[in-house]
Amino acid sequence: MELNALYNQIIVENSRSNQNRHKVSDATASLEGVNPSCGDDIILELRVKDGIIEDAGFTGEGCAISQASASLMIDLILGKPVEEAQKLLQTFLGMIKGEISDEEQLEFLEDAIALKGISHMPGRVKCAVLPWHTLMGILDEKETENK
Amino acid sequence: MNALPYITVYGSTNSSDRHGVISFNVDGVHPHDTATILDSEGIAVRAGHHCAQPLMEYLGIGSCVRASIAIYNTEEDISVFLNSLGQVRRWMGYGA
Repeated sequence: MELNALYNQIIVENSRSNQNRHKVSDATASLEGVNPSCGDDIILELRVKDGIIEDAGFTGEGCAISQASASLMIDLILGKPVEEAQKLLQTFLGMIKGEISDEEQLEFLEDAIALKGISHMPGRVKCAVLPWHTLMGILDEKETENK
Repeated sequence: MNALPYITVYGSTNSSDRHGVISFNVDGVHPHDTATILDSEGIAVRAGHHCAQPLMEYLGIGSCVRASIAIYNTEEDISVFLNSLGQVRRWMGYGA
């Protein structure tokens, strides 16, 4: 695929942005996600109050795709109810797996749609989904806690 | 590669010490991204810790890129490789 479709402005800017790269005060959840084969390593922190993701941030290091994906994910889920974040998570994974291509559905992903090209790059899938799988780990755990 | 700015070669930079394998990084760019960009130019390199995590730790890096040259590589291959290396940082938004 065209390189500028992958390393487009949104990805490159987000990979270097520090806006969402921070620890979260009074975090209610924290989870580390690692890709052992390549060294992508992020720690995701959330502060969830009354079912709303009040604040979210990540620290860590990795390739541009993983860092951009983490930043874009946090932009998307900030201030949203947990259930909505879970839906967005499934939509994102569906997009990456090439299972969801309907534009109307993908629009909910806002800027994260910039990662759509990863669905054609199996070698970079793990980079793009790392933050989202880490989020899944947190939200699934919360669900089990609440039951 | 010694002449290219923003390239760090690991191990000896003396070509007579080397046997066709060069491990390096483009400063400020994760090896995965370097590899993807080189791949788009038809250059295949390896990126990661190369099953040598203790060495990566010793070098103080998480991972690096590894280029291997053998008898089937031509001077043109090298030329394309060096040219593409020079473009990597530009793709990553460093403007250089």
